[in-house]
Amino acid sequence: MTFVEYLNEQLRVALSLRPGPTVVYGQNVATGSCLSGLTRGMDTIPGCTTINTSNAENTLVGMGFGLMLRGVDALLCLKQQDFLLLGIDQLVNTWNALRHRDVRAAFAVITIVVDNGWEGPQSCLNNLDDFCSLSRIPGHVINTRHEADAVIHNTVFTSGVKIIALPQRLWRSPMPDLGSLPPPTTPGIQHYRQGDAATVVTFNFALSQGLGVADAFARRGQTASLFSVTDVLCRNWDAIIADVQKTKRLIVLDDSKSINRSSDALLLAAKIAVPEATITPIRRAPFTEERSSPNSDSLTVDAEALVEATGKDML
Amino acid sequence: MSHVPPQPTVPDLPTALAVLRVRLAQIFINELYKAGRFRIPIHLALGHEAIAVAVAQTLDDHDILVLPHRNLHYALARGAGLAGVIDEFLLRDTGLAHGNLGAMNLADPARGLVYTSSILGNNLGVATGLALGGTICGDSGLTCVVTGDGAMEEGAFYEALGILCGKHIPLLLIVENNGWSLASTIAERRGPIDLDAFAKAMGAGYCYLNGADVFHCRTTLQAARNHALADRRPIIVEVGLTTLGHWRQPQTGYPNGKYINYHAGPAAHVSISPWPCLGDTTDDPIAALTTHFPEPLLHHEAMELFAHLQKEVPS
Repeated sequence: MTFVEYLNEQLRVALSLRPGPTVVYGQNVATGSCLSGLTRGMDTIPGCTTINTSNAENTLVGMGFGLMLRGVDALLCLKQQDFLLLGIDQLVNTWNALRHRDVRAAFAVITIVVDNGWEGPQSCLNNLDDFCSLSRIPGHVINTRHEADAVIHNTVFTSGVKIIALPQRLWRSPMPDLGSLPPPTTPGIQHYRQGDAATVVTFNFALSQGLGVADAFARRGQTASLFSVTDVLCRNWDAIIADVQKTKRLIVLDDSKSINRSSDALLLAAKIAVPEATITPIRRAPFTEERSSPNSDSLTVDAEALVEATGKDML
Repeated sequence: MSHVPPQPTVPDLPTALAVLRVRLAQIFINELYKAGRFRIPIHLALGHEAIAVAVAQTLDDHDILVLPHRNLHYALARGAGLAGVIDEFLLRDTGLAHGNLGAMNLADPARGLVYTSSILGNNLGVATGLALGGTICGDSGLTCVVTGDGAMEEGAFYEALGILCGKHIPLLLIVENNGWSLASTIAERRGPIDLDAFAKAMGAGYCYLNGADVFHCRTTLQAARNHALADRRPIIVEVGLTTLGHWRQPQTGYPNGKYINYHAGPAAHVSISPWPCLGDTTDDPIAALTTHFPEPLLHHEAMELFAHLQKEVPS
């Protein structure tokens, strides 16, 4: 099953379990490709109203808050994350006025991160951190089946507002399945592997690169711990810090294009808590003038070189 | 909508007293404001009392109201006590919203004031969602949203109407047109907008009413409400009114100073008086009451209201 097929299936399962009315809305959610398959079939779920809307993102985000206030669960699906820029006033200001209300319904915004590199300077936004920082709304990413299950079944339809980001890079790939895992000890942090040579922590959609680094350690007969931080506003680093205290080496991979990255909080916390640790942050190349045209933009990691470069603190 | 003549209703004294109460309450608030008692910005609505009382009387228990930053008149007209409002403006726990919202976001869900935004145009999207949610839930009530001739310049006005008309969602959209946005007249900031023609182009209904006469407002609003529900579409109600409490800015070419409309802050030239008339029958809802009732009767009733409200004002 592909990444999008799995998401679609689980979203439909979650929608069919909703006890009250739910609205799935956005441009083309129930026509054409249904957002490349993401929202396909939702118009047949009892109790679920699907609405193909006009191109009016400010109002679409505002509508979600209004539906939530009415007690109706709302799921706004946007084909590109940059569309959400037009709704930022609603995310920031409306939520600031409502965040202390006792809201019972859910409002989730799902955005697809289209940053394969060839979209040009305006359509390649990959900045969930910034939306969450401005709005103080929880943000969640999905890289694997585990993360999909956790976000879709434990988060999307809980009361309140949240933003979900999905990577188009994985859209047609098989849904990554990293086997059976114990439940996460910290909400928003998936712990995929245990090891003692290094602590590899991935943010945003960098899990595939993190797996590459962990595999590079394995090829040298070493083991690395591997964590994926899926909640943007996560600030409970206890489990990761405990691991770094053991490995004394932290590698942080973050493919966000933000300058205001949530991974910075972990780097700071680790530097303070484990000053003797070697810390290596790997981030996206800066968005310079040369890179503002269509190009093969991605977070590139030379895993072998990274594993070899031991003992050098790059922070 | 304008082709249907509104049915006249008999002017009644309780409605006149409601208008007087909203005015007098604001006069008391203005006195405290002038004395420097409030730290928050307050937008008085002197001159807007008739439309607020008419809205309060037109909406039924299932209807909800969504307001902009100038909202005091609606809160008072819907029955909020003066003491609760003053305490809210003083940010006290005993305030209408426990001191959490202040003036520009003053909401009172218990009285149907579900959401209020200080951001121009922001409340239109939320109102669209509330109205949609009401439709989905089978609620018989109507959503009424208030905006102004400044906020209607925002793109959200066009966006919201497009969705409301396209999805056949009933709603009352009241445009309080005082001709000013802060200290700029319409002519100073844009070309004229023919709201009647605009409404037709969008598929919405439209009516214009003189905001000085509460009985005219009520009659027209009742008809508009019925049309919105019967036709399953939004009705734009443009209300021509004057925000009283102007001041004059010294400026070359203006021997008496340039007329600047009241926007916010204390109305320095408005004084406390049991007969709080500030204009004439064309622009002041209090003066307009004298076209329906004998002035001595209104003076007598105003005196009693004044004494009653005075007890609610902190020393």
